[in-house]
Amino acid sequence: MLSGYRRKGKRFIPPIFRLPGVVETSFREEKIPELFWVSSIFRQLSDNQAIETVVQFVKACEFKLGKDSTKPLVFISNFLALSPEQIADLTADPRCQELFPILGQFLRHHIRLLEGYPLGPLVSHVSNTENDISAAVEQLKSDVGELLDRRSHHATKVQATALISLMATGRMHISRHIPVPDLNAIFASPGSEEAEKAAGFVRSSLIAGSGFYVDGDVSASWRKSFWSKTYGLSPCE
Amino acid sequence: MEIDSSHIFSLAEAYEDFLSASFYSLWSKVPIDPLALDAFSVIGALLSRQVTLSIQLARSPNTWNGHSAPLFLRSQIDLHITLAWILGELEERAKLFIFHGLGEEKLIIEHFAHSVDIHPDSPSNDLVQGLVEAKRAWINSQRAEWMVEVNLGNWSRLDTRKMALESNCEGLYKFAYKPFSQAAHSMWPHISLHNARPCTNPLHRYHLVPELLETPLDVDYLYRSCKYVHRSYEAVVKAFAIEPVGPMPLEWLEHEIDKLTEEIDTEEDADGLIMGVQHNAAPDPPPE
Repeated sequence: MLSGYRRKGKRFIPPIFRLPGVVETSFREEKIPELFWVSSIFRQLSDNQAIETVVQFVKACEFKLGKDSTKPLVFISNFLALSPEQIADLTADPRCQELFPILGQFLRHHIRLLEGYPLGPLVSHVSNTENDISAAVEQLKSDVGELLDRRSHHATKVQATALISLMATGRMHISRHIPVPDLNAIFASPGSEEAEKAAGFVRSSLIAGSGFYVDGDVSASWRKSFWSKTYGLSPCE
Repeated sequence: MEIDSSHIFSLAEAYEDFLSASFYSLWSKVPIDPLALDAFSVIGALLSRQVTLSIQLARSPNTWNGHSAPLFLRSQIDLHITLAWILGELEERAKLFIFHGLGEEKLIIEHFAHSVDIHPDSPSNDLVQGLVEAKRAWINSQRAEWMVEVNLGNWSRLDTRKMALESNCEGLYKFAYKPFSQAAHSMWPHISLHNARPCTNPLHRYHLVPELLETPLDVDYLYRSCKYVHRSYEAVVKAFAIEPVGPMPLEWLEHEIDKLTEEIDTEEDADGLIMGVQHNAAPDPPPE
């Protein structure tokens, strides 16, 4: 009974907490506010187009700024840590500019609803934000709702794309001694054994580095703002 | 034929009559030791309380649900463990039980007296004084108040789990006392299911919203209550090697339920009433 647990007085501590440096994180609380924009792109484009759009955009921004001057921009709160000069550089960059219209189109409900939206300074000028607020809320519900189960196919695609962007920008290197499952299986053969392995790899890789990918204070502030705002957008159901 | 509330009330009334008669019958068989009357006072009163709780539950079919019935059942299980543990060493443990109760009353008296001291002008002081005198008289009728020890710990010097272990009630403790304690103490596993529902708005991350939920009437709760009376009867029968007259409570109830279910068409949906022994409040403990 309670195999592997360690007794500490009247408490029984699970084995995981015997590992050094284990920190509890919540995908739902902490990662959804960072990745819901990717979720939205996936909802509105084909898988290939969504991966292409997200990865190209992140690569273009990080190439322009230099990856050492920013945290990985697939996590959206990192845009909030950019200086006005960095934002101006991105706004003026032709490679980034190419992608602004598509982001402005597919993320316009975010711009409409979320004050201080991290991508707002880049794409709001090319976005038609006159959409109906209740439709925007429904869209946002889908963006978030599809991520609430981090093991769902949609959420796995979003997380895989975040991981692919980290690899594509040179932020994550996998040692050649570590067998990397085929991430394509997530998209091409969902439900297969290879896809399950790949999904597990994606989740564990993102969790492993989660503390390094965002600025703690900026991200916490964005999360707080995001969940406070979204809670008030529509009543309980 | 459909089940209707008249079946329920008939069953409950018959159960009450049976319990009342069986209690007096059983107690009449207990060989009272004139040299240990206090101990037999404890055992008799505990047994009476066990039967009373079950009768009160039976009289109120509206409480045969997940909100209310556990309050009765947890108390009945607690009582059974106390009874079974005391029966293990009757005189010594009954004395602990009585002395602890006297000490608790002594402490309550002290609290009242203190409140009168610090609020000398309170309009309720006469009432409080009267209460204190009544409690003092109750204590002094058993033991001089100045000899009464106050024990802030458990009366048996053991917690309920250890008492259950020592009295062969481990399964009852694990599978019934603990789950019903969650209801009695309004703990998270109970209130999150019985007093709230998940909000389905994804932007609210499926938080729980408070809800006044109706739960169906379930005869299983009466069955369980009967089972705890049955176990207490068994403990007394075994401790004093007596032969009960007539059926034991569970045998009686099972017979009555069988009789009733023969009369009704169990296929019919009967306004949410669940007949028969459902065992869905908590799994039955393994045999001990």
